[in-house]
Amino acid sequence: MATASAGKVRHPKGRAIIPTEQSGLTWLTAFLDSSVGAKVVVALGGIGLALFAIFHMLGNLKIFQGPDALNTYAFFLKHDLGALLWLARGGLLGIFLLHVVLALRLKWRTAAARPVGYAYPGHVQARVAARTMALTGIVVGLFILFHLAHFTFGWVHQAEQDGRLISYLDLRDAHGRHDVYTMVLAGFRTTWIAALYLLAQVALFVHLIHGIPSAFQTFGLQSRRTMEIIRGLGWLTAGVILLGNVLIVTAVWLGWVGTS
Amino acid sequence: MILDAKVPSGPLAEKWTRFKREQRLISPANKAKYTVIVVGTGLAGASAAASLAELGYKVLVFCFHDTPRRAHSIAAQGGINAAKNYRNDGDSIFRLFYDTIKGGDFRSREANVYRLAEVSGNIIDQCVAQGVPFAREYGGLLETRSFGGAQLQRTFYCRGQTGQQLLLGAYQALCRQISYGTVKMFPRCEMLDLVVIDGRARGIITRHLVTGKIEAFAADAVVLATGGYSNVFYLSTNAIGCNVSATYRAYKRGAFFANPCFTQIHPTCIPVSGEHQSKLTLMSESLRNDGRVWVPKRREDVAKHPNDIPEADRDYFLERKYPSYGNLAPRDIASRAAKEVCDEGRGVGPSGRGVYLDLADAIRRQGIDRIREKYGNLFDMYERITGENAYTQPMRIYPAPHYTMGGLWVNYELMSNLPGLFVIGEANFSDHGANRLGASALMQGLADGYFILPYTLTHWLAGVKPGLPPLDHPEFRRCAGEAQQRLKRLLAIGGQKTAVEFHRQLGHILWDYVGMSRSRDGLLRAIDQIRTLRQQFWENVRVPGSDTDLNMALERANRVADFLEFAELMALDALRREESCGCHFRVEYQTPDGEAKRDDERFCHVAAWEYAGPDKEPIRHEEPLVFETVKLTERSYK
Amino acid sequence: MKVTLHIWRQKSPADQGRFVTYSLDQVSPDMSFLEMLDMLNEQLIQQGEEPVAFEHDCREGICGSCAMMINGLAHGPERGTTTCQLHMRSFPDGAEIYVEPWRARAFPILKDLVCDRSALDRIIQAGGYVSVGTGGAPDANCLPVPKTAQDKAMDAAQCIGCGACVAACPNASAMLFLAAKVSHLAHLPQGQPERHERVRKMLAQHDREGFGHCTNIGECEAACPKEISVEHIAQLNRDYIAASLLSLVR
Repeated sequence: MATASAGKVRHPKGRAIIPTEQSGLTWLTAFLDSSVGAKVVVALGGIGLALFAIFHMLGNLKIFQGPDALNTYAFFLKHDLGALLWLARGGLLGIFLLHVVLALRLKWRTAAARPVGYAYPGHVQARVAARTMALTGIVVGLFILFHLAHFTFGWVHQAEQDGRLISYLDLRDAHGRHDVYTMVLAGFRTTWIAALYLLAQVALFVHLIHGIPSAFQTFGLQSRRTMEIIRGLGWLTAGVILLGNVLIVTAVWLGWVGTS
Repeated sequence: MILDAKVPSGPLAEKWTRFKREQRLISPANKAKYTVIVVGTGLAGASAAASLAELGYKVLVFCFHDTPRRAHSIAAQGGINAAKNYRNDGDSIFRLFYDTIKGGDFRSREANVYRLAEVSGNIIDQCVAQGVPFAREYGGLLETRSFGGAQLQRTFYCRGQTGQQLLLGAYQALCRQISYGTVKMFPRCEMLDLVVIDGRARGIITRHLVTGKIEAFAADAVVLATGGYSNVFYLSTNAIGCNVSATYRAYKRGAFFANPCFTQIHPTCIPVSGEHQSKLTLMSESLRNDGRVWVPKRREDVAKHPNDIPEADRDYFLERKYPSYGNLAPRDIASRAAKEVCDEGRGVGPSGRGVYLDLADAIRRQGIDRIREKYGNLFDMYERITGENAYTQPMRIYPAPHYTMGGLWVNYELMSNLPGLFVIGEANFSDHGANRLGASALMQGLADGYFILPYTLTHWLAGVKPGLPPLDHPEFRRCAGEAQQRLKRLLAIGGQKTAVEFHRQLGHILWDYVGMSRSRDGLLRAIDQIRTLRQQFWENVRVPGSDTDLNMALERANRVADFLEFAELMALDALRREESCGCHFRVEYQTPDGEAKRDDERFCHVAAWEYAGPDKEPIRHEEPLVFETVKLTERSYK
Repeated sequence: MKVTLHIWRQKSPADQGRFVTYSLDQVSPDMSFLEMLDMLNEQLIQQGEEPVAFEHDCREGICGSCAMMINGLAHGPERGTTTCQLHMRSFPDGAEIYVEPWRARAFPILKDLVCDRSALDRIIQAGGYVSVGTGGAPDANCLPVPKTAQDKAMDAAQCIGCGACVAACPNASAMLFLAAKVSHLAHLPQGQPERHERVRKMLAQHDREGFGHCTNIGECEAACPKEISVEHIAQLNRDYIAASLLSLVR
């Protein structure tokens, strides 16, 4: 709004103009640049990653069926899927990057939106999960990198077999397949690794109990009537993932699995 | 001097049509050559500014708030009248006109009021088109309710926030024009003076409230929509910022001030709780639809808890005195009746200045949920302010200054006696006579802004050449210099008392002597006391800070200084109007049963005051009120 | 009662600003918070000091002028209440009260507790209206509106533009303000013709003003003196997604 004396008063920023003639690219840029559009992509990505986490967890539960089941499942994923595997890996990586990059950009802008904070902090109904999304997100993100380094690339730790150290990737079972079962046992029997995994599961849980309902709100699917259901769904999903993953880690760690 | 109201000839119902048929026009291309200044962004100002800009004029809009959405129109709760007859209860333009004229105790201009009733329906149409969420029936059509002073249900409403929704509608229309660049908006700019060149209003002087910069703006016409002056009483239902300065400065530059003594005291406000109080809060009059007003019959019962006083010991005084209108008697009558019972010592509450407004019957009859739906926000507000729960015990209410029917004199075309100066909304005197009916202020503000001014202003502008006087014209420089001088003078006094203290003292004087009942002796005393107080103010006020930045104490002092002068004019007008009419109740002139007694022989006119110079008594002009259609009767609500 | 106030004092936009402590005696519990500040200001003026600048006008909770963080909460501890309607009975005797201005990049501080909220006006100017001119509107009853839609619209339309949502939001987002206007007009048939264009323009302006984004925390809803629900933000998101997708295929 124009002011009589521009002197000390801030100049208006002027009107935001939406281009009427749009190419697909300008549309995409505008969409990703808008705070809601970017959020929608972050939410979509988040839902995708959460779904992956569920299937990942379910698959890993095969550990309770014994070495053969798990190793067969792993072999199936790695060899029978063929090109699909790389498609899935590429897709996951893409979703992950979009989710992280856009979320961090939003966070960056938000930090700029309040350069000076309040001296007396206060809040009414903001839950811890909601306020720590970026933090838990970063923890989970770093953990995923660690997880890849640990099990996919075998850089972090080595398994001990017959008194000598052997790379995770070189473990073989009776059928000559990659012995994922022994690898998991080797990993989670190490206290610091198990503790790290458990910690990360808690961070993921906290991230998801806000993230899942929040995604529904972002898609505009939340209303006063559905709010409780959606919140419940968030808790349920996050809880199931937490429970499954924690069960695997603790079971191995405490020796419930793999000691015959 | 006899003032010419320029009312078109012909039968009452055809005057406005005739005006529109015969008015001069300006071609769309030429409209852009005219600049119009609008001061104030309440219902009248915002609607006028938006409508004028839509027509193609260059419009400059000023308000002292940080945004044009905050003007006090926003606080109107109850509703807006319109003669739509959606209820099939016999409403018509004529009935709304007649109710308004009668409610105003026959002290308003017939033709203006008829025109108001005529355009009332268009206002509802316009606001609905803008997206104002009026209350609806389940069938999707508009709902209405009843209001004081009418036996029909013609009041449209948006919960308890009608004023807010209407103002936001007008604000959004204004925002649309701002985005088109047809309106230039100047928020945080207070008008300090009107610039008159060769007898014609040519611009204004403003102060930017953040930078303190004094600036001049020129225009082909100036529209004042600066609201009323109830704050002269210090405690009123008006916002803290409401003031008389714009209209009073215009008066000092030659515009006539009409009927300044017509000030409405609203019956249903929350009573004063202590000296610290800065304003009074209104409880919507719509509560009187379902509420019953009472006090104990016996004085010794006033201290008892209201729920302990049996039905037989309660005096439902409005129902007793005015059986046909009962609790819906017009505001002036209800207020005076409340004052009477309190004067008898039967008032309730800690100060003894309060009566009960009881919704217990309605809650029993309609259920608590229905009442909560209708008035929930009012009950919550009552509880926040008083700490009492009105669902379980009656509210306490007491009258408080609320609206001013008086204002700058305008003719039928809404132009003051100064050519080029138009005055709309509460700032003018026109449509409500000596008392305004509930839900009519919103109607008048929007009627003026949307549907009357765009026609009459065009008609007038068509008769003048477009073109602005240079801003370095000596008159602009003189006015700007005087405004600056005055601020410097206020800052230089360095006395002992704050402007607020003077304002509070002024309020006491006016409430005691120029309030709900007035007498010759009291008014003379008031004038005397106001003069003394004004003198003390200019010797002993303390205003800190400087005039080059945001200084709210300075703004306040500058406004109080105007109130101190204006109050005297108000008392003088009350003194010279030797009759009782509407809200103006002179104890010397009453019927045997204590009702207002008009003197149509001597006072069936508008008193318009002309400024004669400092310390000189202003000159009283009269505009005779000619009633061609209605017959003057004693106003009865019994 | 007695209170100790720590009030943010800042002479000008460029000034650093700091907290100044005042103690105030003989405060009545029936006073509103602003009347308590009035009392402080009267004392300051009499001592020859500059009073605390704060915005206020109607003092009945509807104009949206008053704006302050009281002990870290926008408009203070009472829910659904503006600062002017907050009364001192909400505080214990001897209370320590911190009073700060709204803080957001889009709301630069002008002096003490006064900030510039014109960014909100510019969001409305970007499209928060129905483009109808004066005159020519059809009869009001030509356009039936279901009562439920009307009620929803009214819930959203109650926004007073105070900016508490921005102040309370950890992200300094004005999404609730924006959503209230979008949702108000989206629920009414009058708002339909411009519905999609409106939401895109208003959101673009919102982002351009430098407000943060919404992370669905819900502090805005708790701070809103009119208790406008975050479900209106869901409405805004829904409308924005639909508008964007439709603009791509149309």
